Amino acid sequence: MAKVVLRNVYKKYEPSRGGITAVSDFNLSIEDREFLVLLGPSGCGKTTTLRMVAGLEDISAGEIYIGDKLVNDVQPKDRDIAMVFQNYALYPHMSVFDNMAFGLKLRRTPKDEIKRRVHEAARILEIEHLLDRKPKALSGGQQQRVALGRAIVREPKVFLMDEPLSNLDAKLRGQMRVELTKLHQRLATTFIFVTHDQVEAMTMGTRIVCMKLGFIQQVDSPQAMYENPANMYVAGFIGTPQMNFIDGVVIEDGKDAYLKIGNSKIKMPENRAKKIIGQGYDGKEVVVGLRPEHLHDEQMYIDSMPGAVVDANVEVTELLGPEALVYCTIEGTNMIARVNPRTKARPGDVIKIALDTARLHVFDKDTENAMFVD
Amino acid sequence: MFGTLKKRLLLSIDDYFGIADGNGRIIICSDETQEGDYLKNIGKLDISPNEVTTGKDLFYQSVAIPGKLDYIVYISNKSEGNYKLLGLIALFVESFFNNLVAGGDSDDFCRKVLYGEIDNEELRRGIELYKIRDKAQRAVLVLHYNEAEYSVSEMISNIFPEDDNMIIELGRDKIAYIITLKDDQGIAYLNKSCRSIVDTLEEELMVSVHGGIGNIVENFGSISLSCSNAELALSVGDIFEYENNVSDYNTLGIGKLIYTSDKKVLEDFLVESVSRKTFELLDDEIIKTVQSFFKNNLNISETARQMYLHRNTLVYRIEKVLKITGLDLRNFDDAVSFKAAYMVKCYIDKLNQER
Repeated sequence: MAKVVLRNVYKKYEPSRGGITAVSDFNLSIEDREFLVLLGPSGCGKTTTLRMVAGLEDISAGEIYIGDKLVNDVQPKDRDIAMVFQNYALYPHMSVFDNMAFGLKLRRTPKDEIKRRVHEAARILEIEHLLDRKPKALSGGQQQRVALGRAIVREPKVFLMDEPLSNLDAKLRGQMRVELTKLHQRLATTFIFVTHDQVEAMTMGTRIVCMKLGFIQQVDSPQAMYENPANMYVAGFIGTPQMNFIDGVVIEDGKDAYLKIGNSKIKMPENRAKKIIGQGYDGKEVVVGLRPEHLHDEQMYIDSMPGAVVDANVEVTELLGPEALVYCTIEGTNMIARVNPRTKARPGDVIKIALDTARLHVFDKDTENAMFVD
Repeated sequence: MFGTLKKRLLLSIDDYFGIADGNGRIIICSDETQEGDYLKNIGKLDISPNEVTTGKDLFYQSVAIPGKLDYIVYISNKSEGNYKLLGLIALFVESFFNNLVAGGDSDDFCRKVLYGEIDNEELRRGIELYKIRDKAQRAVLVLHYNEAEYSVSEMISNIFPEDDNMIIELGRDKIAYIITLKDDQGIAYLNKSCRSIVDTLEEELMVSVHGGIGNIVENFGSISLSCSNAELALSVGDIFEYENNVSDYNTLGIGKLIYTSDKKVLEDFLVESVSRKTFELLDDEIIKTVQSFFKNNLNISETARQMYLHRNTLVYRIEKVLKITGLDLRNFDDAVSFKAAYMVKCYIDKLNQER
């Protein structure tokens, strides 16, 4: 169990490797027992950051602490960490016990201690009954647990995981997400988990670090990141279907503030209007962000939000069981609404949509940053 | 091995002589044109290790080598003195091969083959001695790692325990894994195996590992080519695929061409296309965007989607490159010119750094 601190960490490759700065001014304090997720698309620097914490990659500048110890010059094996990667391999001729014990045997750990640690890890992973089996006789999920067991037996202060679920099929990945969350609760240890999958990040992380081109975009809890994205990038990355974006213009009129979207004029709620008025936004071009669930086609919403109703041309509807997705165009922009499955919207219809102005997001068109947070 | 033996014998013997294997196939002969042919009529002779047998034109003696390989040494019988000389040659050859067997185990043999330090005859004898299947599809993975505290070869042999593969240490921080492929295995299998090894070694040994994948070859002697190509993949990957810890020779593309080209030609190319100073005007954000654009086959929508960029932002950045370099990356020819120039610039920087 340990806190991990990264202070002004940079990773800049030599000119011969393009001279690219893969990670820029990374500052983060990961609390003891936290499940921190590094999230972002390919090339955003998340794996490089994890490998710098592991010591598998040198840092160009900055400081990394594990516990209270500065580990910049400490070998990976001496950092008290354990790693689980995407392309792990089990030893096919060894039993589950021996697979988990192998690393400890290499390190000349006493036999009794190996036995204790393997049984303890097996108990936590609920695979005690499988200890005599060979990997071939295990399901994909059980094999994944053995791979985790190899890391657990080291009893590290920090677990580092780089896309460990990526090679699993969708169903198993869903199961393993739950398993990993439970494991984190049982072990009560710090987890740093790298993924490009926002669903994994949202479901498992206690906090998410959203990265882009080597820079941290936002560090927050999944809920906070979903509800208050710092910029359009985070807003678009988190959430499925992704947030709808539509161009607009801010209009101030006395104590009221409006967003002009095409020919529609949407009145902002009083609390939000206060954050806009007098800030120099009048006439400013912005991007309005709306989550699909904040577009409503039910009469109740249309009646209760008369200042925020727009016309939508329905193109496609998808019934997903508990909800339906309506693909439509509003003021010429493609949008998706997540509505009640009993919606009457059909392709070709022009329907009324109420925009939830209390939940919409306004982004500066130039900086792409959120203009206000709740 | 045989080359050395031949040179030493030729220095001392003026007459016609040679060495054949147990089947009579001539390995070394003072008349080189006969090498590879078979000795005639030896089946009728009782050639033993302990004494010289006299044939029609030659004296013969066999040489027994531990490991059950026999050789036959022979010399012209026109001179009586050659009778005694053949005994000495037999002793010398026996001693030579005994040393080879004692000091040169199969790992040494494979290492020599990997480095191409072996001639055809030595190769043939080694394959026979160590019972190696010559004709088989093989490829070499070269793994480079920071000095590991524990045995990397032991780890790999535990990951692939039943396979008919070889693990040869090439130094304190480098190992070659010679994979014999089954019918249904190819490049994809090599890639998967290499990634598995790299990730497992990093997990278990906690060392940074880079893997290079060589090309598939058809016989054992060609593994030296696969090995050198795996090493080439490591070197090229180190420059052009630095964020990837596995580099595959089979997919190196332009990188391979640049790495093996003349530096002067490359420098001229850089001056004529996109100059070094021009690259300095492109910031990280632009370069990363361009790299992603190339990875997505110049597809603006897909690049924008993957980078979570607005399409217009991406177009703006591409137009910025056009303004600075004169190259419109949406145009295939310009994109190729930019990519090649950028890679050449990286390679020349690497050469300058090494200097």
